[in-house]
Amino acid sequence: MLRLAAFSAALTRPLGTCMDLPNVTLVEYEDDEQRRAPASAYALDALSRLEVPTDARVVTISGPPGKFIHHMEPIRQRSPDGRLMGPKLARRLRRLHPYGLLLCLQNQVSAAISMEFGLTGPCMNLIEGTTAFADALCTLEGGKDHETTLLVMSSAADRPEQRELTKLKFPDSVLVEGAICFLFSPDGELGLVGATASGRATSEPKKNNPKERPASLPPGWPHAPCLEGGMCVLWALASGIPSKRFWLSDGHGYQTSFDWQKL
Amino acid sequence: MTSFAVPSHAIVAPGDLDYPDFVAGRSAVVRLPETFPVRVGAPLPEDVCPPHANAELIMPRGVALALEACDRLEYDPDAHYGLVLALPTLRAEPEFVERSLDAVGDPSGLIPVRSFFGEAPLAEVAEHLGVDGPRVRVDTACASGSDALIFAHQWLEAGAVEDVIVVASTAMLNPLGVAGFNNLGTLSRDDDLRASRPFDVARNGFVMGEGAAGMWLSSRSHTSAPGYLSGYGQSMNATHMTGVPEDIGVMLRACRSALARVPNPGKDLAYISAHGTATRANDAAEIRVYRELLGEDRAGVAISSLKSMIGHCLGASSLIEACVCLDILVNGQATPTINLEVPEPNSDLDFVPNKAKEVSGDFVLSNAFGFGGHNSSLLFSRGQF
Repeated sequence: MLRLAAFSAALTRPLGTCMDLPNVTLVEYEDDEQRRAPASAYALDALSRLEVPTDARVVTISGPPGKFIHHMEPIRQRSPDGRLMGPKLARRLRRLHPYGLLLCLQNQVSAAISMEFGLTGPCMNLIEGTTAFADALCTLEGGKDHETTLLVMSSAADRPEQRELTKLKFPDSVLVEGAICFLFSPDGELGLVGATASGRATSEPKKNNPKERPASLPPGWPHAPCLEGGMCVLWALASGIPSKRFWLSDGHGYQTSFDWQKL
Repeated sequence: MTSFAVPSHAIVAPGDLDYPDFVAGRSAVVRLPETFPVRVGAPLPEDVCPPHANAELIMPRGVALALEACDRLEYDPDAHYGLVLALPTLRAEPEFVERSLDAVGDPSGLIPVRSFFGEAPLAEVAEHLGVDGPRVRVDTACASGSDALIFAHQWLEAGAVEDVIVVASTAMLNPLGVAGFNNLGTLSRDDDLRASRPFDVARNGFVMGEGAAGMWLSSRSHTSAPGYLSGYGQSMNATHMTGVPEDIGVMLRACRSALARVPNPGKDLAYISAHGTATRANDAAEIRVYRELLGEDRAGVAISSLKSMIGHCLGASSLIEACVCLDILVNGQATPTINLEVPEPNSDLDFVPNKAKEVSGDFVLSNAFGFGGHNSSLLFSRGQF
């Protein structure tokens, strides 16, 4: 199992007693125009409170970046028939901002933290997967070449252009977005996190069932695609849970699990 | 690092070209319709993955291409597989964007595009393959295909599964996706079917392609496997979202990690599949990397860019190129860099200009240097190593 050395989080809604933990803060997204998507901004905010060696191995789990579609609105508005893909498309597309494309790329969180903090070690970016937390832990436990591993989860599923999509899956849920970072190292003293077991498909897929939480978290907590594994660990830290197996589900019949053990 | 067998691989390349076409130097680059902001691209033929006419649920083209790669891949249906899907963003597909714009104030309009979102694409591919093991989706831009293979290798080393299917797909060859790259200044604006010119002095950007690939990676014994994934390396540039670093040390580090057990790359490597996008900056940096990596023996290693024939298939490109590397290992014919008339000065490297050449050796290296600064190198070997 991996030894947790440090953690931080930047979240848009409170998660119970987790907000009393050090380095866990409530944030509001501040739009910096064209340059950075919300998911990247949250990750940079959270990671600014950790000291990370520049050669650390990095895994990011990225949810929706949160800001792209609105760049297309001015292009649609100039369409003679009101459709984005309508007449004179090639001419209208000249108005797409050069950074517009970058805002829809889903590796922008890994790119942003690498540039901002000078991280040059190996990096893997997993996307759109609540279950990916356990699947990533499984590979990280085998990492022998890099003593320190940084795991960053970031998601902006509650932005206006994303919220309705997210609610297709979690229709009656309150959503939270933000970033959660974990630093694992051989001398970590906060707890053990591991997922030696591989994921497995559930026998009976339960799709779009709002009553079934995708993670074993307290009732009433907000939903956050891609952040739920991290929220479980924060909850364990805040509540002093000695040991627990957490389950993560993708809502399509696939589950993974990971184990927490307090040190 | 353990070597893992690659029992099978398959590609869905622009023009539906395959290895014999590449050896012959055929190009998939064609003129694009006027709805596109550039003149040339490298699409799939219209009869490969035609659009699905299902108004209730629109399948993302990126997923459709991935399923096509799955259908072309031979694998043991009785085995227990994991799945690593390299499928970069679907948010630039026109149906998704148009409906997202329409959905303001009427979210019911998003129901037909729900398969673009969240875990749905991964679930769709897993269900199509019958995968019941672990599954993840990787996106490291143009390095996605290579990094998906690396993740699969790590799963096998961790013992999570014994077999992993890796699928990579990208379908941004539509007016919106092309405009995004064009406005960034990364595409060639030539009205010339020879516009994809990696390592040529006249190169001026990449030509966009689309496609997919699949590869089966196994920790079990496969005596007839054409090759093995025997090494890999990764690093981040930490400099610029779209540029390459002035200090090529980080790119070299990825290559050297992959070659850690190859004592003399200049003598032992049969071939290097370059990222070779035909942008000014990428190719110049790669030339510096290969001169440094291969040292005095640099002229003896064949290096070429498949993108000269099929354009840049973004997230799928590095898995397509990995598949072709295995074909080169088996057949001993390095595919050429076409449209290479005047090589970059001081590039005393063998870019296999315009004509395939015979190569021998037990190792090939496949490189990908993606947007965001993801550097990824793969080493394939003829035998278990």
